[in-house]
Amino acid sequence: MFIQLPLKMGLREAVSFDTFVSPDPQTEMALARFQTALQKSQGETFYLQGPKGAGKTHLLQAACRLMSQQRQQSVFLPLADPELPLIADVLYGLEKTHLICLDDVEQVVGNPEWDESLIHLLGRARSLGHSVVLSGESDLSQWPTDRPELSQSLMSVLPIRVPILDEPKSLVQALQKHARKMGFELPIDVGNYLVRQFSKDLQELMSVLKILEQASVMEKRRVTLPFVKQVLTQSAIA
Amino acid sequence: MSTVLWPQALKHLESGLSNVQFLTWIRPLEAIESDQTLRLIAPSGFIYDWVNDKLIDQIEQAVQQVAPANTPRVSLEIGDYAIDRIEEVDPTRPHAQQATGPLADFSHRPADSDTSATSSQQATYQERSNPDEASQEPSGIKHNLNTHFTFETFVEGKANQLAAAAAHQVADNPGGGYNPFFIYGGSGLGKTHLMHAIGNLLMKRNPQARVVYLHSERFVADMVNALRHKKIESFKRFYRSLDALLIDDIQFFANKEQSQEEFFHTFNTLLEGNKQVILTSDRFPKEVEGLEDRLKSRFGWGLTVAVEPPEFEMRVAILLKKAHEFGFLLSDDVAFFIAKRLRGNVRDLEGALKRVGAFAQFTQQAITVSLAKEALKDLLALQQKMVTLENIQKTVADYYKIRVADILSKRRTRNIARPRQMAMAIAKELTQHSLPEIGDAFGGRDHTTVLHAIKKIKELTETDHQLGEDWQTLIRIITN
Repeated sequence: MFIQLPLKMGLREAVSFDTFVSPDPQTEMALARFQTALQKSQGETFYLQGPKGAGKTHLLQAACRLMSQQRQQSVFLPLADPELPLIADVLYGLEKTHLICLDDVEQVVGNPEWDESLIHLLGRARSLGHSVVLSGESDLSQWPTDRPELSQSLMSVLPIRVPILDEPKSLVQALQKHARKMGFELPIDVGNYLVRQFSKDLQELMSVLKILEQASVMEKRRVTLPFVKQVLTQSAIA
Repeated sequence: MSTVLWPQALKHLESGLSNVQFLTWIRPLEAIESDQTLRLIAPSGFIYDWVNDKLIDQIEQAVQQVAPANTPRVSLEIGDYAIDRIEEVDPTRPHAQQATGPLADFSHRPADSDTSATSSQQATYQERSNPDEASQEPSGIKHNLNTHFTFETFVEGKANQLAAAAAHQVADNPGGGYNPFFIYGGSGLGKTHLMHAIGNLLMKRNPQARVVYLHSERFVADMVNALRHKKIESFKRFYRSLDALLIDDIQFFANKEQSQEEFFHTFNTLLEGNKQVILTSDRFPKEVEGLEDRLKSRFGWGLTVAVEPPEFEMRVAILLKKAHEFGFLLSDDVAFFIAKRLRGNVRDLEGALKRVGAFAQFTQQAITVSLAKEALKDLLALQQKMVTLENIQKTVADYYKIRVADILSKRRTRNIARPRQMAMAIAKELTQHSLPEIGDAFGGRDHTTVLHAIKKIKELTETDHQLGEDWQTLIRIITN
């Protein structure tokens, strides 16, 4: 049984490219290039494609953060968020920001009004040299649109595949690697415990790792299995 | 003036909001700090409404926390604070004295005519929060030019050399004989690039020049909002005071009578003052439906040039040049493969090339034809989706003014048989369907009939000039 974290919000750490763990070297290289392209702001359009839980939202938010570090405006629109009263007109004007991130874009593609709005947004952003990053689960060629203009616009989109890391062994290795980056050693039994008991979502595991690191520093203790159980139990009660 | 207060307020807001709330609603806001007022500019009405309804109190609290002794008033607005900007633009003033700020933006204001979240709205001059941007706009307006689009980065070929040469002339002699300068052609063929290239060169030669690029849709939206907020005189004054007005995709003016009326007068004023007007459209001006005749007529006063889709050789040249620019080597066979498979436009070619380069880099492989095939897999699938046998049959039938049913029929008269052969040959050229599949789709014909049609059309395109033209035109229509 997984341990339920008390408040996901409470675990939230600053999203950035540094806190994203790439599942493989290819993705790591692709993301490095992605960051460089965003920094150069050449008005390109990217499509982050991968399954749910691969970390696409994290990457979009990291991209926004990167822009703010450069003192440039950005906007992040989670199109699958049920709280947003979304109509296609919302895209109008967004091109003025230097980076437009549309998460879960498949939620709206195929709807004629949204297709129209998306075509114009991509065109306006391109002519202003502003970047657009889209995210979705399916391959671009599977998008359910019958608008040739949208298909045409998609031709110049640069896709970046973001595979999910869900093999327990790989997850543990990734956690160990990241713990080392944070300055501590994560024993393999602790890694196995976290993956088995807690979550298979790497980004969520990263948040737990952050808690463990802070607790370890505060209590001046090594990250051992008994210590981890104690910290997580306290977090769950808190 | 650059703001110091807002970055601190952002830290407070970030700690109190979720990532989504912060990045969706707060990050897009641009802050301008002036005497006891913190102006927050939302890029769209949607963001304005949301922030005004749900987050304005938290913003005010954050600002108060940061500056408890001397808390400024928070004013929420939409756009690039341009209504204020436009009111300050006085064409009689020397350019250097004009206000520094972005271009007019009346877009998407809320129905409520009060554009500020607080009571008053004073038109006061402020610098942009980003000093780098301000320094790029010494004329006092935001020109919206993309600095990457220059003549140096434009690839010339047979299909666009006339347009490129004319664009150079316009940049050398703005407001001269080629006024208005009208560029038309399909999307992704470089119309916008040329337009920006002229604008950039004008700005380079005269940094004080009042050059503005915008999309026609934006002109219409700005005008609608100017009317709604009774700012139409400011709107007119702004656009009529420019040295060069660059409007993209004027086909979107179709059936928008009032915008056409206003544009007509702006156009006349600029031309009378020997100011340059540059326009683009996806078709010849006289063919734009829903456009007033007097506008169509005036568009023809200067110079109208077409940009055509690049022919095969030019596509190869573009690929080789762009590959060099991107810093990787592309062999001729890979360039030939991409150029053969992607016929549409320059933008597609560039996109394809970037994909191939990135794929090679990520997988640490040399760029070969098989790697290119793998890298472009979904893109080619997209293209396949766009070019269907039904689409080919319909396009060819329309072109030759016959019915699709005639193409599928058993009739063998020349006026039916030739278009049918043409459609079959195009199907083989543009799709991955086999000969039997094509035969089936053309009324259940044998694959040898398809093969014969392909040979016949190939032969005729080399000997019959008219048929050769038909072939080129049809390929262009179907692939673009």
